[in-house]
Amino acid sequence: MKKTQWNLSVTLIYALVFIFFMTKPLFAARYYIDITSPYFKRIPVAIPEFKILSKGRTLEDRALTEKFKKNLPEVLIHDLEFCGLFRILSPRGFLVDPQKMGVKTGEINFKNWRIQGTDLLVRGAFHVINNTLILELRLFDVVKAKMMVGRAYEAPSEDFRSVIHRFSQEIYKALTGKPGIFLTKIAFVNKIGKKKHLFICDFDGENVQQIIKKGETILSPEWSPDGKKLAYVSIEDMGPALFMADLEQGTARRLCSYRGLNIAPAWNPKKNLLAVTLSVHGNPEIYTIDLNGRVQKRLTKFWGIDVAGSWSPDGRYLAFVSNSPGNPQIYILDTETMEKRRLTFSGNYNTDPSWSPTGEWIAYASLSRDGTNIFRIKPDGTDLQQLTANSGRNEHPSWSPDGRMIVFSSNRTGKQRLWVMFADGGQQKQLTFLSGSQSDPAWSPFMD
Amino acid sequence: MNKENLIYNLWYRQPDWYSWSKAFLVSLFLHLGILLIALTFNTISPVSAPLPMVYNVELVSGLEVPGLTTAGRTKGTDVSTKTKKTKPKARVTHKSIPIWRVKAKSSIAGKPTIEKTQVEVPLAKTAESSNMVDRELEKLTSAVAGENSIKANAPGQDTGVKKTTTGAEGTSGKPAGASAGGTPGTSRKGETLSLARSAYYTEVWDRIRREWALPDELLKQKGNLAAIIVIRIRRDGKILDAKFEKRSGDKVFDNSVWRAIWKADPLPPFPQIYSAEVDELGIRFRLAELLN
Amino acid sequence: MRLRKSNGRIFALLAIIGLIFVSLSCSKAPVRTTVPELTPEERARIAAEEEARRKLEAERLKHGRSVEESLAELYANKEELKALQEFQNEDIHFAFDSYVLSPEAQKILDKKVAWLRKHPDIKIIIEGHCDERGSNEYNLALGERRANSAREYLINAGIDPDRIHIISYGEERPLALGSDEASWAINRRAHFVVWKK
Repeated sequence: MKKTQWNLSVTLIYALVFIFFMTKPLFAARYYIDITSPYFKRIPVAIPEFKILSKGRTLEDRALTEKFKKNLPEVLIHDLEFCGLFRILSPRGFLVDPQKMGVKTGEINFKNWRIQGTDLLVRGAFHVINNTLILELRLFDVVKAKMMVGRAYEAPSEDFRSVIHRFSQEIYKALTGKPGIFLTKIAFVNKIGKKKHLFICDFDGENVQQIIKKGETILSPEWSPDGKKLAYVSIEDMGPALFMADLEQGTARRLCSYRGLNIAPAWNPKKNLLAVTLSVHGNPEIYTIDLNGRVQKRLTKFWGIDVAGSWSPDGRYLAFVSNSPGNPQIYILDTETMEKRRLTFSGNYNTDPSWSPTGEWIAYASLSRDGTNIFRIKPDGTDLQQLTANSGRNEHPSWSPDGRMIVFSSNRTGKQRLWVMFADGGQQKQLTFLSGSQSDPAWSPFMD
Repeated sequence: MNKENLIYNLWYRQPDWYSWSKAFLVSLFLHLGILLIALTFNTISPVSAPLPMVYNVELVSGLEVPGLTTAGRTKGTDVSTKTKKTKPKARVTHKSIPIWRVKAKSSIAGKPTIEKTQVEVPLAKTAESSNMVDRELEKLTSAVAGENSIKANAPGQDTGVKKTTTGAEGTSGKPAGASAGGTPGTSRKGETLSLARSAYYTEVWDRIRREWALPDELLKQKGNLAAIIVIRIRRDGKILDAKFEKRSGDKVFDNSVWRAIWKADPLPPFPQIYSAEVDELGIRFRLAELLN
Repeated sequence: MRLRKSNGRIFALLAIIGLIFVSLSCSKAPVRTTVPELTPEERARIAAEEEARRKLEAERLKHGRSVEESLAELYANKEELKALQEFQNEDIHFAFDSYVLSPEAQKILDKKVAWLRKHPDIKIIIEGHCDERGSNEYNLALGERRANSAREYLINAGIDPDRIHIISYGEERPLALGSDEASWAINRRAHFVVWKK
């Protein structure tokens, strides 16, 4: 029995020791390495020439086919480069003739594309029949060898751009889960001679159309939150008056023309009203009006100048310009408590406030000896950053609906044109190249 | 009398080795079962070593030699490890704690034995790294060779000297001293093997990193995304398979890291000296703190 | 005898189990490799990317797009009546971002007061203008304040308020088309126009 006891104890000890070892890693089977940030901020995508399904029967169809062979992928490439998230691989590295390459999942040698170093591949195939463009587009994940998005389009050939923009929108959504700006528009003013007229173009500066034929001096276009209407100022004999254009119906009606000024419309994103500047009571003050032009409320009371600016995305705060300190500065008004607080303290001429749709920034123009430049600042007044420098007059910033880009007017080339840049001031590039002087840009909300 | 009987019965109840052992075995298997469950769950939950890191390879450009620290001691190493603080012959930086050395024998097919050393590979640039690695390798091998000769002369000191350069120490319970004092040839090979392996991992890191494309500004709002992919690499560099050990929860992120892995395929082949057929490696992808 | 044998077996069993577990143990000892900072190689790559981008932008600027140009119509000038030439031609000027009447401005306004007294049936419009700098909207408001300053001065001098209307054109109707200080000074003005009899 003693022996049993002894054996038992030994066994128990052994077992304990054994268990003790179970909790100790004896040797590892696997190492881990850390990669803490992506090497590229842009996803590489290969977009070879689109495949021609048939050359076309009529002369016109053939000519269009030839033109589209280049134009279609060009528009797509430009779209994806524009939004800053994609890096387009140079077609020179592509090994196979795009006219012979397959377009469907089963027809593509994904391994070859993987070797090129691309994450994504777009294959397109089209033909033109009686001036109608029929286009198939497919986006592939090269590694998974799977199609991510596939679409077939049929449209009049002159609308080829909007077809491509639609697919860019699909690509963007597939890669980010969010809507892109490919279907948005920019309203702006173009001055030719002494006349200023209202125009709209696509987000990429193409497809320019004049939308108001009447009137001689039109200013300050402002989109409605649904993107279907435009408010604007037209200077008439008796002074500036406010109008509203209905883009779907193609009509325009007077909104209000009180005595004196009717200017600077700022459309509230959440409510059916606009903040405007009227001087009907003798002094330029900010009022809110409804969509029939009736005054709702007076927002400022100051003997100097108060000019309406830009609403916060929740529709509660209004950033506006007031020269109460003696020179124009930007203020924020809480329209619920009617408290106003000064936002800008740097520089002595700050105007054109524009609240980003994400609510994170307010961009504005600041005039100084070095010219006029665009700045951005947080609504609480912190983190002031200069976005343009040493480049003439840069004014009237307007945010894209996803808050990633800003369109503004700049005369840095000697002529006043519209320019775009990213929200941090990066990659400034010219957007419009029309003769005349382009100004007062307003980026539309997301459009369907 | 009853009491006595009771005691007698309880204590000397039955010869019973069998019932005792039965009970014991039952309890043992219960314990093992629980441990098994714990281990398997370990693979699912995020990896967090319950114990201090046992192996740390830091690829930073640091050429300082803080010298031998006593960090290696803290893990309860009490076996024969009178580490003499002799000056290290090779310029290596020592960081942390290795554990006991396992004999360099490939006991299970397909699984490499892992040597643990305290060697830190200073790495300023990728290009230079291999030079550094080679230099370190040389120094170490010569150092160890030197030790071997010393050892021949002064057997009593050998453990200590060897510990100086390799830093490996034994831990309690295992006859580490025996294996350490054993085949120097094997241990030397063990050291260079690990070095080359770290250098190889650096290359793998670089290759995969260069293929990772992600516009991280879009994911700024989502906070700290992290995903872990475990890959098995064949000797010639081909990735045999890859699987997610941990997904970040964000499809865009996960897809981008998956593409990064496979675009890096094939990876460079294993260094000559590393004789394993297949290696398993975990890649942890994270978004670093974005400086606004 | 029997006990020992079983004993041995048990121990053997435990040993085998132990070995199995040891070999299958997949406890992880994570190896962490920290990532070094930007290597010069990476810096070079980033610089090359930027350079490529800059080249692309420059090319875009050069390329330009042409649209059919519309003919510029001549802007109809305001009516000029000889008798009122001085009244209408002499503008008052303002400092930048200001609607304060300078002494010179006040002298000119005095002349206008005199002329208005002579023609009591005439109504006028005072236009407020600004130079091209600054925001359009703000300048429209500023222009109106400038016109208003002149108006108030005239009213204070005894002219009937009903005779004076104001309008602001902001920076929309510059007189001088240059972009220099001299042109800007000319454009910062209040302008007087006879409205109707």
